[in-house]
Amino acid sequence: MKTTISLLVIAFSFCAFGQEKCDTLFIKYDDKLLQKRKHPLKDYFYYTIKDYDNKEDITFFIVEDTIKKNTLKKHKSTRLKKILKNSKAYYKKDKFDDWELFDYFNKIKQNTIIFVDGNKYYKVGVVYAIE
Amino acid sequence: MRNLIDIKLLLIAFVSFIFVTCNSEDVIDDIANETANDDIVGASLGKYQQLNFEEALFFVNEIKPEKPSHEGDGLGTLNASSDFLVGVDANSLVFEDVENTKHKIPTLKAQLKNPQVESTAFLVKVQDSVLGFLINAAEDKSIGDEKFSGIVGITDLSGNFVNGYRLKNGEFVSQFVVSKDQKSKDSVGATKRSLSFTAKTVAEEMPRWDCWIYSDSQLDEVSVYGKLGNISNIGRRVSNRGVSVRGGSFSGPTTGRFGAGGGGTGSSSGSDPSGSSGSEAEIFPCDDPLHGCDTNFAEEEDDKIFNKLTGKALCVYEKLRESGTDFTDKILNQFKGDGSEFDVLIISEEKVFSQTHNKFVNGITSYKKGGNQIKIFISTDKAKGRSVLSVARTLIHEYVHADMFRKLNTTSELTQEELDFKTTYEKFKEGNFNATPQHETMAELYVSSIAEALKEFHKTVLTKDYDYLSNDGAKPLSDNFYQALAWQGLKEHDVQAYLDLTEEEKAALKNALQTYYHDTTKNCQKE
Repeated sequence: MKTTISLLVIAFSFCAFGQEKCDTLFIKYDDKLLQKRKHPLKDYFYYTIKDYDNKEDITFFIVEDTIKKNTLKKHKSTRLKKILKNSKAYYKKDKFDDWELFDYFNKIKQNTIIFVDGNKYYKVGVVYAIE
Repeated sequence: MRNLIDIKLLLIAFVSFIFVTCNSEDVIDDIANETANDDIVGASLGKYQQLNFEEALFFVNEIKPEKPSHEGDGLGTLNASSDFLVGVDANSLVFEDVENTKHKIPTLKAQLKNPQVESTAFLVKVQDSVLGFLINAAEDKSIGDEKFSGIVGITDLSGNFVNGYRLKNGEFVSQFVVSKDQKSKDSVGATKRSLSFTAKTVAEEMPRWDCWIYSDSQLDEVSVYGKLGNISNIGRRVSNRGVSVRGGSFSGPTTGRFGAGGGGTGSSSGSDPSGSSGSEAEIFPCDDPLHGCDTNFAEEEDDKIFNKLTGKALCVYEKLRESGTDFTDKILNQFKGDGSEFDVLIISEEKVFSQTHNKFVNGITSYKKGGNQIKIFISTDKAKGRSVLSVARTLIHEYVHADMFRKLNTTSELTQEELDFKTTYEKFKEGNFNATPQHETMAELYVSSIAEALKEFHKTVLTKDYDYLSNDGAKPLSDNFYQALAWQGLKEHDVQAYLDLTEEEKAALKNALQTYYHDTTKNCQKE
């Protein structure tokens, strides 16, 4: 009986801890790949992937919230470069497919995306837009 | 002569009720552009925007002349077959000053088919749309009152009822409202323009009720609760034109109300004529020239299509829906109903910023991870200077993007048409093309449909514009014109389907666009 209770406690703790881990993707901020901009009319900042393509569409990351580090559990950050590679958004030199990147983010299981910039944590929304 | 004075009197009375009080003034040319009036637009004037001279003239010129003004009385006519309005005198365009504001409103002499009715046209601008109205005064000559007795009605340029009052010796005594008990359309045929007087029977009085409107709506005439302001002051104002006599308790535009101080909130239907209670006499029921007291317009929810458009974009959207082209209906119907996976939210914003080019654009469609709502943003600022057809093109272009989002993200079983779309989309995704797969696919699969939808919209909804450009159908517009419109927003991105056109085909599109584009109407008028 005692063993059963202990196992339940351990299992519950694992799920509770895992909930955030499973639902959140931490991405290490990389200023070589990202640029931060402020919307000229609205009160928010957003990040775009640096590329020099003459674009008609874009995937960008709206900063929705600043998260305090002490509210976050231990986590592992993923490098943005790896995500871009996995998304197959680069389809040839200096060409970038924003829909591919969005599609990648849209399909991953994590609902919350957090950029980790040193000690700063930004919760971002992933948006695709086309003219 | 008395009629002439009276109609001027009544116009000034009503216009004063709108904008505090007015003085007549000759045509002004110092309202060259809106920027000159930035300090008043959208601020103290509330929903009403200042029209500039060009806008007013453009609107007037849209009223096609039945005969050149130098060949007669100078009257252009809205519609040669109109049974209501003979025309407006383009040469009589003047801007009426509004005291205590910098606002001026354009007015023109108008002539109805019924010569007993004195009429004046005036223009207002709301939500970037220019709207034309008539103030029609039918004097009861059987009454020998010192001041005006009869009916003063406000209609649109086609004679559709907006509002109306009966006056006796200069006092408002009753208001006309749309009857709650509208008869069925079949019975209306027999009683067209009939009027029931539920609150007061005045049928024996002159003038006839139906001489100032041209409408299928049945009206009730209801007593005014408490008398409206005695307009004897206004009589003096008119008889002493130039010596401004302010109406005392007029509430200013800052209140958002346009009446003569105090009173109710207005109603265009039912038996409560509160729109004219106290000492108020609103020109527009509920002070809303666009919708009157119809509150259902505010946020149209067409199942899962949320419409938050305003101004010209709203007008074009409604007309596109009205035209019901197969193409646009088919797209939008995919978002209707509780079973649809995605919603569409169509929003007007003054300026729509494109993160792609760091500039302001006509429209954008966006989709956020985790949501089921596709957002379409339409720029009111850009729409202002564009033709109605061009704004319609933008709306349809963004609809197609929304449709593509849906097709790319749906978890439902795909139809054959959706499978075909995906095959084409994948081809562009895998290949080495200049534009995005969405624009490449739109160019290959949708351009003809967009062009066809625009043509149908032009012919069936923008009929006056089409008739004008096609010389009443004698010289139909080339299909190249609509094709060229459809290519806009695509060819700039070097889509393959456009690059594949021959130079002759491209030149034909360019020529067709140049021939008609600048002559198509920029005014979206609500019927």
